[in-house]
Amino acid sequence: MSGDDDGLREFVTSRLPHLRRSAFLMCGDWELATELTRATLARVVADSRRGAVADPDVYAYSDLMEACRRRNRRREHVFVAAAGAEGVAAESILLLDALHKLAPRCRAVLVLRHWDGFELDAVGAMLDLDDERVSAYERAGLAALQKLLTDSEAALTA
Amino acid sequence: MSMPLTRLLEHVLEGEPDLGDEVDKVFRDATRIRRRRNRTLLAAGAAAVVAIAATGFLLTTTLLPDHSRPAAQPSAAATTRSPVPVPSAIADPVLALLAPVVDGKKMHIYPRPPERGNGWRQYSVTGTDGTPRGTLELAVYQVGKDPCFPVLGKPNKCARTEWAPAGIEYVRYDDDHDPDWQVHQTIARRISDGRTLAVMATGERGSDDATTGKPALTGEQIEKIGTDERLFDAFGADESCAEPSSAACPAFRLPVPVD
Repeated sequence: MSGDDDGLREFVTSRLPHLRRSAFLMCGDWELATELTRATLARVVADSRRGAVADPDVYAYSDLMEACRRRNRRREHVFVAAAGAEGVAAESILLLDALHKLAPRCRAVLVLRHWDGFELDAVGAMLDLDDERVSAYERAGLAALQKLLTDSEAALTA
Repeated sequence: MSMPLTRLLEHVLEGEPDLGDEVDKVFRDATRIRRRRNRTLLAAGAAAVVAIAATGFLLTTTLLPDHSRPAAQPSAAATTRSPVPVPSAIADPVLALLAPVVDGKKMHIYPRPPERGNGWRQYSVTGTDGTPRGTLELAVYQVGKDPCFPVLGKPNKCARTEWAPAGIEYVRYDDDHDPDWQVHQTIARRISDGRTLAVMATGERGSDDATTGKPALTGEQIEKIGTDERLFDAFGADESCAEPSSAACPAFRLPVPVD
């Protein structure tokens, strides 16, 4: 794909929606997710043109997760709906809130494994972790998420 | 979370905005990146030329160092103690977790001045007859990235971590090489939020006696305390020993790998 603009355009067109959804799950803000995804794909394109990208998927997801981690340090809100969007279900906000209480790397593992459907070794390559650590993050993340959701539901029904 | 996570996440994404002309914007940004990189490369080249010229000039004009200036006086380090008030044993959730273990060994534990600050606590342990049995020191940190846990006696190595329930990774250190500073220490990190605890038991120092220098609690007990999830929450949510207000943070035998 390196240097081939048609191939790059095809790659960007096919990956952009999915990358943006993953970014949204990481940051809870559609506008920010769009901005981060665009910046990531621009880097993929620029680096592919000079032949510096071995695996564009690993490069793109790895770069995007790191960008989300950096931008998410000072999170001031849980969820920002898109302009003109209709109301969002309370359950969705609870889930996003619970997801955002997890450490960024833990959240990244859950998003890449359970939303993007990547295998352990692919997630490991994207986040620079070995398989054992990916599994540990996944187990801990799911358990923490379960607990947070249970607590939130209990608080809502109390 | 009765539904699989994937299905739950699908609902969260409802209301996704249109992509618009994002693909074109990506390619415009990529072109901008390439131009910026070219400019940076040219600027770096120019800076290197200037630096080489300046270094040459300095080498030819300044061959001897200037000894005429008086040496700077070292400034007195300001050791700020935390203004956190001294709590009673009941109000100290950390002590509440430690006390049963120490009491179980027929010993007593109480805060040791300066007993606490932002992200740290320290306690004295005595035998039933009041004989000093050393100290217990605890601190909490926020460690974001995967840390390199230290290895005793090997400064550039990273320790392989063990796993405790609730997603806690930890490393235990036992060092009784020096009879006057025997240490049982555990560093544990809760990977779901990066909160990291260091717990260290040391025997009474300065006695030059292997028995008196033995820590009040065993390495196994320190490991159990350090990996107890309740201890992670026994410190305040905003506490961290890496903050400037934690000036009197304990010096651990193995330092905590803070970012």
